[in-house]
Amino acid sequence: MVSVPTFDVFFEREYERLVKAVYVMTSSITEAEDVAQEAFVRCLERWERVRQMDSPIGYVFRTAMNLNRKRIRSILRRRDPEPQGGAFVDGMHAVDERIDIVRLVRDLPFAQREALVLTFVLGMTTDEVAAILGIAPGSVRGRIHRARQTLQGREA
Amino acid sequence: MDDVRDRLQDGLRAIDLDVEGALIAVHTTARRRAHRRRAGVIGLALASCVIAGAFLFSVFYGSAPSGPSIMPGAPPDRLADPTTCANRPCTVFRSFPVGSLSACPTDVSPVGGFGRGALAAGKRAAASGSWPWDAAHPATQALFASESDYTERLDGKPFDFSVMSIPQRVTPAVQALVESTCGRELAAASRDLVMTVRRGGDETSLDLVFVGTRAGPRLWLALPAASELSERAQGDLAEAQRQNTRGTLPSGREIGVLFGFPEQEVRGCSDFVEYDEPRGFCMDGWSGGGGSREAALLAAGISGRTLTSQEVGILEEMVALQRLRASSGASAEAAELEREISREVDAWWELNYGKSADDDVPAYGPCGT
Repeated sequence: MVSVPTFDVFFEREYERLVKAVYVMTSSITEAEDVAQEAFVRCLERWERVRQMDSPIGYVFRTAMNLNRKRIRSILRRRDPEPQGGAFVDGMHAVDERIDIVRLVRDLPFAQREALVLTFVLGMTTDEVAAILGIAPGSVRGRIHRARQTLQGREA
Repeated sequence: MDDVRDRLQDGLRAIDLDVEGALIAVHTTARRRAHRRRAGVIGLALASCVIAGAFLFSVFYGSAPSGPSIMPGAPPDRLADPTTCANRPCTVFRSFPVGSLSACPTDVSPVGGFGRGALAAGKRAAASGSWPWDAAHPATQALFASESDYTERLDGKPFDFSVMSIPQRVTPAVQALVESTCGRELAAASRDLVMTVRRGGDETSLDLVFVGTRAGPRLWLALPAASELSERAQGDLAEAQRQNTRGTLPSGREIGVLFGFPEQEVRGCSDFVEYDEPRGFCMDGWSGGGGSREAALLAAGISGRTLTSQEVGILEEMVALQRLRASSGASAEAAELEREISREVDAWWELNYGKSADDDVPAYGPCGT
């Protein structure tokens, strides 16, 4: 189990990585910050339990992903064509334009993207990712392999 | 594979985040939700008490009190003095105000109604001799006199108010902040809106200035008012000014982190403020829910200046409302009168200070949003 002394230390250590991970999953840094902060709020409310977990950041990431799904469902219900995602332009737009690889990753199927983000952005091992996603380690490797192939194909 | 990892991380490296600001926002949100949850539990308990009280009174008095109980021909002195209400059923409902009494419908704080915090503060300050009671307009005095005593407490810790006309109390730095935040005109108007607070009656404790204004996003400033600002307070002030130049909240939604006070939480309805020490207070009615203008009128009333007939009329209606509440509790008539007064206060405000930036915000909309 990872040693997690206090919530603040945990937050300072993980917040930036989480926002970046969520950013790859969404399309706006503002949305990513909102989702990540909300996930951390929920984490804080259950901190005594979360800190005992094998992977607190995994819990926060799952929470963030659930929140993001909820957000997307809400957007679809409202039939709002481009509310906050998609062509949303915020202060990070200029940066976004420079990050071709991020845009390529964002076009991957959700499951592949998730595995890629957990591994490459949050720096988790295959076993940790497998535990968080509830799948076999082999499946994680498979998703990452397919993601790499897709990326290479699109760049070629 | 490493190439993808490296490129991804390189790409994301360009993103720069305000981790400290986000941490404050997370703590503030979590704390506010905890307050709300507690308030919900208290609200349920209060509702249970009210129902039980109504049942008991229906047993002892034959029927539960309902509707306005100011009866034609009732002795005026009885209505003027809320304490004479002590032996009547309405007392129970007065002791357990419900949200509908408040200017802010979702407010479940121990006292309801606009400006009541200010009323109690004025009474207390007058009693302590720190406030020029004699200078106050008689209509204002009558209003204060109509409010029954109660003790404001939070977590069992008493606090003290002093209410005064404040320009001489505000440091140039604070005044500059108010001007930069609210605009010059509102800053001038804010002389009537500012209340200084000295907590616990401790002369050495830090004074705070509250500027209640409805310009901007439900803005409350909590600033040190003492002429000798602590180093930390000066830092906070500088940070406040820096944040304000962005014209937006750092998190895009949290008012509590607007001025970068780590331990401060400002809520839209009842304002809990903590600074330097884990003590706070609830200033009921001084919220974005419609209390600030009434409070401004009260401040005008105690400032010693000659009031207009419009102002006197509103103050007299406020007195009538207090009496109505004292006699009939949370009646529909009281609620209607409260709304009427608020409309008149809004008109008074507009006449004196013009339309403010947030006039689109519904005065009786959900609080804290």
